[in-house]
Amino acid sequence: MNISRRRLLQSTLALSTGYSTAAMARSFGSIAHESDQPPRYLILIELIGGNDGLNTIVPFRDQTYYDQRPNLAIRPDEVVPLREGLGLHPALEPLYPYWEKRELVVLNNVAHDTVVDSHFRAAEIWDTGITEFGQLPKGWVASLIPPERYYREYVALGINVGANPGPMEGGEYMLTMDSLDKFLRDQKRGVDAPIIKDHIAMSHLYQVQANLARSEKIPNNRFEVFPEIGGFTDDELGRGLQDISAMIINGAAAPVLKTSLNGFDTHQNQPKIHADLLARLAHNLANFRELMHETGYWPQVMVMTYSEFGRALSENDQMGTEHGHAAPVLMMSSGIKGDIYGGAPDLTRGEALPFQFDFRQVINTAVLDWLGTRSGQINIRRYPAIDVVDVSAKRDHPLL
Amino acid sequence: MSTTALASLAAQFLPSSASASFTLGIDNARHLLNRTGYGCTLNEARTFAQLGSDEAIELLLSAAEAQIELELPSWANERVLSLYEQNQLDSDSRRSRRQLFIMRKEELQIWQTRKILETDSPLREKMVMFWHRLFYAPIVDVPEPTQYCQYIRIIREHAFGDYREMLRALMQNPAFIQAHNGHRNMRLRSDERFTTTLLEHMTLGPGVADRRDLRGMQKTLTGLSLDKDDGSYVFNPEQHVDGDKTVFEQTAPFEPVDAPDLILQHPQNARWVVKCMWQEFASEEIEDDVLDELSNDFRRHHSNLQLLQSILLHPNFWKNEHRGALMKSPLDLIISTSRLFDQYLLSAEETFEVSKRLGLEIFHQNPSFTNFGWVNPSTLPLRLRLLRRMSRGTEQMDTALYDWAQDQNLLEQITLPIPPQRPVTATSVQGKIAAHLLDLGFQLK
Repeated sequence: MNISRRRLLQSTLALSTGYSTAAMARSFGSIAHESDQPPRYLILIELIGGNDGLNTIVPFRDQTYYDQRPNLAIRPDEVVPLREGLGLHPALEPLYPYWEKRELVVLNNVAHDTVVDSHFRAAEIWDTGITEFGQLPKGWVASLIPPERYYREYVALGINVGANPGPMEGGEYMLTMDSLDKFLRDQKRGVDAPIIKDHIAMSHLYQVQANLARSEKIPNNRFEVFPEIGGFTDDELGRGLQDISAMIINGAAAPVLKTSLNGFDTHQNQPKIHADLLARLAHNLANFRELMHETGYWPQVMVMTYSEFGRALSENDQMGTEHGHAAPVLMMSSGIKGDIYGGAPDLTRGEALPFQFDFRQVINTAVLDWLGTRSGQINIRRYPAIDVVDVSAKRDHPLL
Repeated sequence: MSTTALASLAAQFLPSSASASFTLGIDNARHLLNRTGYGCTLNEARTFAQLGSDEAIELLLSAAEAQIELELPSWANERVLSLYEQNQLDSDSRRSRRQLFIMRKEELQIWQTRKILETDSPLREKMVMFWHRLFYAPIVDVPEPTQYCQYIRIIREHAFGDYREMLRALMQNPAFIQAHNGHRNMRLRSDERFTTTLLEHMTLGPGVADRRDLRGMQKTLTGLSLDKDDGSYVFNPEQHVDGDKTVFEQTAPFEPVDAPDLILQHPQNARWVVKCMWQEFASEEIEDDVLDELSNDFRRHHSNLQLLQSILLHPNFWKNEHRGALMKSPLDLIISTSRLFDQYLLSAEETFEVSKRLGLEIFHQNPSFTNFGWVNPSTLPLRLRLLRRMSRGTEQMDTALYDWAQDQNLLEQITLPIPPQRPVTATSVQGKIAAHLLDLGFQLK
């Protein structure tokens, strides 16, 4: 890692001291007010295309799984066993140390009551929390009530790095950027609409785009220390997490930060593609966790991965799988009670796996218990949180 | 002087309808199909690329002008209750009738959306939608859905027919009259709304008729009324202002039946229709000489079909400056993306809802929009969001598109009217396709 480590530590020292004072105050039993706690971050990683849950968290003692997937099933001796006949895909092995540290939560069988086959609809449901077809409603992050002291601690309510803002679309205080570097450069230069000579229509579009960009701004001066953070892969996820780390370390972040990894729509040649994607995921997550740990921010961070749907129980004839329904959500944080929740998938009910948790429960857990705020959307609020956040890490939510 | 130079010189002096036909190629095929329909499938683009321009236009027009079975909802021919019967209803039946009408109106809106999605001639639907926009009648302002069906019939019957017939039929159509309060314009209580809308938004354009003309026309149009037994159009002489009226420098005891001819005789009428149709199919801008030429012809024949034909055949329709000169309407955007993938990603109901959210509600068009208004700071993010969602996944893309997308040039030609605004850096095929859909140029047609 090629960080100018000393400067980085200097800049983080102040914050981590601030944190330990707060932690100390809590341990001495004084009432720690919300505002004494350092800001929290929820990192969303969207696995675009529909991640195969059965080959991610493998039910390696279920014979049905091996019967339905003669070519695709992960052999029991390859699986990294966790608990109760469930284990990790071998490519996820880099995450195993965090399972042992009880920093990894597997919420198994997450979905909702509407089985849909289209990526378009499924993504919209996950993005908005609304299963009925509406008129392009707001994303669930976009409708969050800003946490207390939001304006001092954060620069935006949601920041997306990469191509898919998803749940952040349609709201205020949302930033989306291809990369942090480009975003800062554009801000310095100012976004001006180029005049396309002799093309009024294109000029109009640029004008609209510039008007939009002007309403997005990160205070530039917060980026005096710009660490060169290494160790991530050179893909959308790696670059996204790298930028997200930089934002957190520089104190210029948002309660919800999002990036994504594309390519999970494995209708063909799944084994190689899926293993490669999971390896990227595991490597980057582990690297991110270590970086946050070294810089002292790990207690403030929760990572969550999700996908628009899981995949069908049986394999198809092209070494792939079709769209399914329920799939696991992974959470990583030092503030959670690491375990598997929701039990093994029920493989007796056909191709679309039934769900144990509604995805809105998962969202609500992160929003209520982790960020200590609430959703502005009744659709999400009415689904109870799942008890995975450790009592000591739980934020009280004074608004409730 | 070489023969080719001579030929091109000759072409300049030939009337535009005799312009030399040329083989289209992919780029021109996309241009033609985007303008005369809602985007194109790969197959269509391939087929049209082989055709000569005249041949292609002929093909599109002959498919479009064919009258089709409308298949309106079964209740479309239901009788309208007489005024007496309506007054007899108790409050419960009134309420349930209101509910029923609300549902039926939405049914009609979805019906039209489905027509657009399932048609064998997108040009027919495009032309129908053009007339619905020009002679708009917001469906919420028409009390009875069955009356609206008659209005739909008139538009469809005359979309490629005689403009004069269309205007005459509309001015005696209960739905059209009621939508603009034409029946409220009476002898002792004048109401200018119908007159103003008719002249300024529909037939002449803003600012053509002066105060005196408007006043004269308003008096002419007094007495439009609905039959109290069956709700059909009747002229009620008791509510008509008798005596001379002065409209467009002519003075006579005009009655509503004279109004269409007064409008048709005005030289600005043809110019306005030509300009509107040019803006729908060719470009926001119309050159003066083109406007003169086309409107002189239109005044002679008043044929909607011929006007459309001469627009499509006009050399300026094919000019480089007019490529990508129009914004895709919400329906253009949704459907052209679907057709690119060769399957409908959104049902008729979903298409209707999304289009509404993006600013175009079928049968409820805002008359004051300009084409550029489709894309503004509030709709652009929604449009991009839609495209992002639509370009997810791989199985929804036709395998042929996949093969094509390998070739950067072809992909560009089929998706973008002007070169990409950002260099495409994606390496995967899916990434390339998504990059083209998210390029600003994809908003244009």
